[in-house]
Amino acid sequence: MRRCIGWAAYLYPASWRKRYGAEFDALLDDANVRWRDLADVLRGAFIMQMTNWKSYGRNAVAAAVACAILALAGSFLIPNRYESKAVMRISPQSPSADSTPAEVDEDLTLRLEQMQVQVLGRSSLIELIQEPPLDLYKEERKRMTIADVAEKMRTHDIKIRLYDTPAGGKPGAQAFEVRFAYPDRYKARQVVRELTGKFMMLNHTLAQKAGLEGNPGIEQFTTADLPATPVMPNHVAFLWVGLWAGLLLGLLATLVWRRPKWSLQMAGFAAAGFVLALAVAYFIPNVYVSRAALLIAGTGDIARLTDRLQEIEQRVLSPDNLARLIQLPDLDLYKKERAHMPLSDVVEKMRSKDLRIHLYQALPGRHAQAFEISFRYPDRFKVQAMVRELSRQFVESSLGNPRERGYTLELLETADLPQTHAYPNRLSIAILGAFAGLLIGLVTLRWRRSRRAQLTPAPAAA
Amino acid sequence: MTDPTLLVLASLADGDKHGYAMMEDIQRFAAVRLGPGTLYGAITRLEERGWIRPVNTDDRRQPYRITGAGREYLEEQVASLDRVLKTAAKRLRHA
Repeated sequence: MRRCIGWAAYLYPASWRKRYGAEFDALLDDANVRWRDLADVLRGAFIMQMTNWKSYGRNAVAAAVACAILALAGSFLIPNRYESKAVMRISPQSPSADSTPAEVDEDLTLRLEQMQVQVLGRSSLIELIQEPPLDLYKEERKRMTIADVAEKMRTHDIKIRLYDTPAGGKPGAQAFEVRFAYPDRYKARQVVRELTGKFMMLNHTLAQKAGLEGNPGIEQFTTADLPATPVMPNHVAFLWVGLWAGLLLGLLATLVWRRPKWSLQMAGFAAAGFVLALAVAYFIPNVYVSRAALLIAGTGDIARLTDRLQEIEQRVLSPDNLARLIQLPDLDLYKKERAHMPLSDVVEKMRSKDLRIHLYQALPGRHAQAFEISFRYPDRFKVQAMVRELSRQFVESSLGNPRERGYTLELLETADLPQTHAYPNRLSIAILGAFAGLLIGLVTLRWRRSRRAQLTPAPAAA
Repeated sequence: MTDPTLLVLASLADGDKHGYAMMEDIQRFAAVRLGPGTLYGAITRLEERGWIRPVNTDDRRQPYRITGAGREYLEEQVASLDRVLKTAAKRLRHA
């Protein structure tokens, strides 16, 4: 019986056992314990565990409520974001009598793809951002490059969504909406107006080139609206985030309060991991990435165009051509590597690790494929020069009679000059180091505790 | 009266005692046997509130002493109980 109750006493919280364990054992040795005492000890252990965890729960809930209220209040301080929307419709311009509906659709999608890539291209958006009446992203432009701001605008704030053919629309016509979100609702509307205007103008230019000026081909379904209510901030989302963040914060604060020494030791391990990883990260050289976007378009289906692209790629990225580019006096790449590796291995490394041809996900359609050439290297000027040279070679390979080749290749975005390095992300490395430090700390402290327990003699039984 | 905290305070009111001594004393004066879990639950709460404190010892049996705040609390509780008992007794006499 005594042994059973002794085991049951292990169910008490460790902190309680540390304080009262020895004297509790002495009591069990002295008292003539009975079976019902086992139930009494089990009940006591349960109550003590509940009391022990109650403070975690109480503090976590209190912190969660406080943070949720703060987050909700804070969300009202965040500037509103308004989203303006316009719907456009693109329809076939020159459907010949013998064109099948599928061919008409292909032609339509190709036109839309080409226009979208150009309207939302870097140079087009930079021009829009810097237009004096708009003067968008003033704050962001102070801390980011204009190219990065344009990228942010394209990926976060502009949305182009394709609809199915609207009811009652022309056969083969395709509607799409242009949305833009911005803190100023008048500017949001103006940007949508500008974007739809660019679509119209570009369509007109393409039609002029093709000698199809009679048919507009693209028209505005609904004009850019002036949004009355903001789409952001989402107060409910802020409330939830505040609630969960508060819960975590409350648990963490209680842990620190209840086990200050252990928390301090763990914080020390995390800080050491952070600093060590950050120091290591600073030994990793900066790597810059430059990109250029190109578009291959033709009369065949996408598989045929991809074959053509592969042919050009094999030619431009051939080992001989890359070896020549590496050794160009203006570029003079991989000097260190070339000192201790054969040139063929350097070319192989460049091709497999640093040079990328990335195909964009094509919109529904089968006549065009946009792709990106990117190159990474520790020198930002050389990285741009290399991408510029490669994209020039891609475009030059397509010069001549497009009818004979069955495709055209044009440069959509020239190689950019990267302002900030792409790798390494030193903060991420340092945070990973902090997590590794926490793990090492957990293992070390547990090991030290078990070792201390082994070395400490157990109290003698009466 | 079976409140373990009051029983422990009452037991310590006449001098320091360790757990087993308290258990025996309480059984003697109140005819209540506190189980080990109940007794140490009460000791833990009383120590947290500062109504009792451990006395230095080299023995495994840890004696406890009632503090001034604990004595004050016990006196309040006894006075309150006394009032209830006297009222109840008076009413029983007049019933």
